[in-house]
Amino acid sequence: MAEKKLFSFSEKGAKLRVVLISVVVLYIGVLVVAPLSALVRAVLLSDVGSLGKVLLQPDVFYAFGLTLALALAAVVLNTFFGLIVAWVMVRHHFPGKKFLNGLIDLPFAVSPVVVGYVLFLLFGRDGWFGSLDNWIGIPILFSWPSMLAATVFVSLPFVIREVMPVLQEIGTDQDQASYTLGANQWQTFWRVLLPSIRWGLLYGMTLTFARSLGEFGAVFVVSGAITQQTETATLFIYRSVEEREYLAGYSVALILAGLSFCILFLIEYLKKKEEKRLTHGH
Amino acid sequence: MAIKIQNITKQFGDFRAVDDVSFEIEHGQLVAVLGPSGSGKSTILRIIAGLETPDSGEVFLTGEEATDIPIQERNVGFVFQHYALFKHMTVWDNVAFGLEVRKVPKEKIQSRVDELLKLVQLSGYSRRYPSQLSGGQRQRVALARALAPEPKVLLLDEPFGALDSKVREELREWLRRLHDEMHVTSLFVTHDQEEALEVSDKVVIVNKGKIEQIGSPQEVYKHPKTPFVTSFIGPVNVVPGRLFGSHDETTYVRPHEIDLTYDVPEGKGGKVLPALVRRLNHVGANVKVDLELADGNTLQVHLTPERLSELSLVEGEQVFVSPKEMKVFTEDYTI
Repeated sequence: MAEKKLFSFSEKGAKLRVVLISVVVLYIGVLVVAPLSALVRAVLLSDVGSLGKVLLQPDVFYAFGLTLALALAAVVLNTFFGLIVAWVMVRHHFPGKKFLNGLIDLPFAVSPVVVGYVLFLLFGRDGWFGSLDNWIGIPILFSWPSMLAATVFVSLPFVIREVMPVLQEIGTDQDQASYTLGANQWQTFWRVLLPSIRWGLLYGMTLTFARSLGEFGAVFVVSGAITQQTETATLFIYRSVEEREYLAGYSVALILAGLSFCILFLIEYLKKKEEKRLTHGH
Repeated sequence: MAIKIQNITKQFGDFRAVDDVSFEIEHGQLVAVLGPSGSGKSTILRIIAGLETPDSGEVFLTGEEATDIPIQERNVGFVFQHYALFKHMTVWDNVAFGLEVRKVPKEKIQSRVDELLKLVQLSGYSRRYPSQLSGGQRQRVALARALAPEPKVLLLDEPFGALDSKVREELREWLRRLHDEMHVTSLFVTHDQEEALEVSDKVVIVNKGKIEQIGSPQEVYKHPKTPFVTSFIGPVNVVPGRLFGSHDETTYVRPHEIDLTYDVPEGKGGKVLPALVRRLNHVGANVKVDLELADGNTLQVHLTPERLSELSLVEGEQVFVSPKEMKVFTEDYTI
């Protein structure tokens, strides 16, 4: 049927369609597929046998651990606050709301290096929060607190932007129905609201996680990239390339990319399954 | 009294949605709140449910003051126009929700949900999701869900508004039968006068945030108290005063309460007008006759097919119009 439709168009329309599809395929191909295959090829061409050995190096191990810890913490923080922000933005009206809404996208617009530099200025010796580390008794710059702040900042918009439209769409009817049936706010949140936004939320959390895994610039500036202390997986890749340790760099890069892909595919699969369940029954 | 509201007022910005409204509803009645859109009828219902807080006035439910009681504790069943079913739950879980949050024992929930699904004729659908049901079925689930916790009163906000006309008619007859079985005091909001008159024991007619009239369907139809009610309930001809009465009066005549004759009937001197037959429309149970009066005003008359053949009326003929019954209201002149 699809072919029939394609050719029922005028000659000109059909041509345009072919051109457009080619452009899309080339664009995605060049931007996404090519670098990925290059990465896979580079790993395969190099000494595959010592791949395992590379990945078991203590600094690689440490870097992955740190990256995962930062990403998970960023997901937790941005999920909690992201839900609150999304809720307030959709359900409440207040002066300056539009401005705040624009501000949420700032982390997309500002270069992560700039973000890192700003944090550096804030928490540096002469910064506004310069004496905060004395207060709480742990260092902030060149340590995990500033790295977490950088990661949270760059991945801030995802949960908010995924949850807001879903909240908008479901409206308040289901909440109100829940209240009239005797449920309190806590029950309504866990049993009605959260299940209705769970796919948007999960999507946002996944993107937050993927973005946090890949963060480099902001973390680079605030961390100092000290091996086995503040060196994340991306910082490790950078150092490997600098030191011409290409195999180590490629391997870590491949695993990072693979991780992100798996998460995205998993979420897509779960979503499909859920949609099927809701429309076709058991 | 199952429901009593007293001097309820609610303002949204500059708009006064409900303006000093009071009424009472007896136990076990099925009452319609009827009014055009924007008349404040839904707001009244939402205030009774606790979904909206009135600016002033009181709400009483089964004799107890409920104005400051939160929604959760009012124990009212509420049915929304767009069902508001929990989309991620099965039909069974939807109906059970109100019982589960109240921590009712499991066996009790099981039997109550089964009983309700039977009542709304959806026993075989308990494991389906709302997206797998038709509009009428969804609204029946919503009704079962609202009834499950045995509410003091049942409130329905345009319950059939989102359904097509055939399902609407079926469902409203079914609601009437259901109500006769259950006897739970029910208040439903509608803009459809036919729906209100057909189903309810009592009609509350609302316009511009105020009550125009309260009465049985027969009362409000036969004896409308205001021009608004007269023209809102059923088709009506609005005739300017100088034709039938004095100049500051307006006459309302229902199309089927007018007779047509070729001669001036005896003893009806002042109440007869000459008119020209413009158009005959034979669609429906009655024949609709469009007339043009001498001053250019138009009038519609509904005749039975028998009366029409008696008269053997033809388009373009001159006839006399004699109203059998009419309502005269003095117009409020605002300068």
